[in-house]
Amino acid sequence: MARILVVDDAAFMRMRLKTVLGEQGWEVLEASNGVEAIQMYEQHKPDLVMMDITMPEMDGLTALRAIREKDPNAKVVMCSALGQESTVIEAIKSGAKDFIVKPFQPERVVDTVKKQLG
Amino acid sequence: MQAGEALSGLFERKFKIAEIALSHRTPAELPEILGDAAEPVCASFYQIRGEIPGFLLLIMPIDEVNAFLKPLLGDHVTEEAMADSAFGEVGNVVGSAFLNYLADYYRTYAAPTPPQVFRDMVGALMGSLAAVFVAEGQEQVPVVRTVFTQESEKLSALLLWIPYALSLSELRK
Repeated sequence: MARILVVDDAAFMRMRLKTVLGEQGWEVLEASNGVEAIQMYEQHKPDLVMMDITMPEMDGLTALRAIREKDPNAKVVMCSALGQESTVIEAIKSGAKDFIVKPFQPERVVDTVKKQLG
Repeated sequence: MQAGEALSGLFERKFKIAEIALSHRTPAELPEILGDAAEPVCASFYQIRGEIPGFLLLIMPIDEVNAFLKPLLGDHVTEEAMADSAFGEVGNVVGSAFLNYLADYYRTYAAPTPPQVFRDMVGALMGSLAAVFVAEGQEQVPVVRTVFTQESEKLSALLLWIPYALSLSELRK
């Protein structure tokens, strides 16, 4: 069973993603900011990370870079309402595999995860 | 328009924009900008950083919040912490859609802080904001007001963008 780390400061959004991903049979881990995400990544080595950008403590772009520095093969998909062109470009340059702009359709999330998990 | 589409997308039901207006107010006028300063509201509030700094607020009368969030939360809507989280995220999605459009159109960059959710009288909330502009020595405050309505539920939410004056100057360049 694939293991996915969902990183979002909004408990509501973690609950929503957990429902969508859990229905596919994937195991879901949760972190509420970038610092927690890095710790959880090192501890659990998830198959995929779904990362928000605007978060307290440490934002998602900083966490993305830190995770990719520790593990260049890490698969991180950004999932954020902040979909400005400059932000998307920065995320992809920093190693994000894909970028989902909120609000998302559940099908879009599932398709993206399936594609990344191969 | 983009903010309205984001709201509709999140709720999977149609919201329409009932009003968009730009006005200039003094900081002292902000507490009564929505009418009755004593009206209790729920607000998702954030600062905007980057090249067009200011504030964004999604505001809704407090007695409409549960009906508004029910489609997203189901039975969890009675849990105040979860309801506040959802309202903050709605503000994040709607406000970011608005900022994304502005930033891409004007080839600039705007980043919101994580949202904070307040349940308070609208006058108290806007009064705090007015104090920031007074401290900055800004005598006129531009306010962009967008009202969204969902007719079937008779609900309305208000998005306020209150930029620093220098932000509008930046956009005019």
